[in-house]
Amino acid sequence: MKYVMPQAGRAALDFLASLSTVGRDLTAPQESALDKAGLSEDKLADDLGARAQQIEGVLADVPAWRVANLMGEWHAVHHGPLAVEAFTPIADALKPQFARAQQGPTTLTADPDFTPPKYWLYPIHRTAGGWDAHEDFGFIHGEFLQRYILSKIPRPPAAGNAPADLYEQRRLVAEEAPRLDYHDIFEIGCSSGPYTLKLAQVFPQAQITACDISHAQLLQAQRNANAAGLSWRLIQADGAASTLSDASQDLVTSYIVLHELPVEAIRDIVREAFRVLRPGGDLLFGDVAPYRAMTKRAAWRTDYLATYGGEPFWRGASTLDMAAVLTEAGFVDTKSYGLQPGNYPWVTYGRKP
Amino acid sequence: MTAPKLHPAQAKPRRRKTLHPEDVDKVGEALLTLTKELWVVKDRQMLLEHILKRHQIDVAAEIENLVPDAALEARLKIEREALIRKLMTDLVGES
Ligand SMILES: C[S@@+](CC[C@H](N)C(=O)[O-])C[C@H]1O[C@@H](n2cnc3c(N)ncnc32)[C@H](O)[C@@H]1O
Repeated sequence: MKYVMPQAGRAALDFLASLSTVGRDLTAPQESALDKAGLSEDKLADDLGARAQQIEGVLADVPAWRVANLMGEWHAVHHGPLAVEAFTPIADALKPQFARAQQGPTTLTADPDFTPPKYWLYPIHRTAGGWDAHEDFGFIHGEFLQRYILSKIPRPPAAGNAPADLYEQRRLVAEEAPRLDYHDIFEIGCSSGPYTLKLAQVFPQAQITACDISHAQLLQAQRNANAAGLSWRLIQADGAASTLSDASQDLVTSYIVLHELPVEAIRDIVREAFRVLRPGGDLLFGDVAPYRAMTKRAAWRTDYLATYGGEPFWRGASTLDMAAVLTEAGFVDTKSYGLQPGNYPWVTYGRKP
Repeated sequence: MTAPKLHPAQAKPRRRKTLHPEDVDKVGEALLTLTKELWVVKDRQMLLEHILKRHQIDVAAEIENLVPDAALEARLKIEREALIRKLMTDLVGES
């Protein structure tokens, strides 16, 4: 897709990225206030609510904390509208390109009767309107919010703290699969397809089917796939009720989807994965690190950022024993572990016997 | 002749309190919006100067479609972050 972001839009998005980068300077004064208050690891409560009271009680008197919250609020409220604003002046010029990019080997099966589960209607990341905010939100999210802004800014503790190559992290997870010879791969929650593209690179011979609830995101996935000459089957479906046949897939996988789901939906997805996998098939999830893999302070900060960053299900997913969920569903050889020094991405694996 | 005497007003005019403490979040939000707007203008101005130096023609269209190269983006980033930092420092105040 060829486009240049007009100056005002680009500069506004640069501002958003810089706000996050500069705002990180406000962390050190918070940490030293906590040190001064004697809140070392052994003094912090195990219970997340009690721990939040301990820490936030101290931080309430720290101006850097209050300003960090102000900047965080502004980012949360404004990033979606600013991204749409940056897009609007080029929308007409992009339309013919969008239409052309829909044509190609990748199919998209929409379900006009689809009713999203209630949890999905929460505006994740506090992006006004959520994944389907705008008919072109697949492009806007994938190109502006993810590729342009997110790639530049430091990550929360659960995602390793530093700016990172977000696409490379997806490839690392795909490479954790124990085999390379899959015929049929099913990805849940593909969005605009950044992980799907890596799956296509790592498993070039596989037929990839990918689902998402958001039609706007799937449209952009289709464009990205066609641009790369790939033939995916994209379906608008809930990963917990995929419409795929029993025992039709060799690998079921997803990347940073589960932490956006309530625990019951995670269990449903794992059961559905078991159903659609062939015996011997693999289940592989890449996601954020669970709280038990972090210091108590980092877990508190992650939980705090999630609470106010439009992630109502993060805590449930981050305190869930994923390997046990897989075992309950019938998977064997289950394991759960972090990649890279920051434990991000976090991998959960199981095999259908 | 005695020098004319000045009579500067001394009484304090009546002032009214406008905002309430609960408005402070909104003030903060507005301030950041303003900073963003200011940044957009500053950014544009730097681009304008950059292009003018080279051509002196069709400046607006060039600005609209200019993707800053690495060197220009590095300069923009320094200015942008310095601006945000100034504001942030004021907001944090003296501790
Ligand atoms: C954070 S995005 C992850 C996208 C992508 N996998 C990536 O690597 O960036 C989460 C995506 O999961 C989708 N999603 C959420 N719940 C889902 C469900 N139950 N079934 C299918 N997709 C779902 C959302 O619509 C969204 O596009």
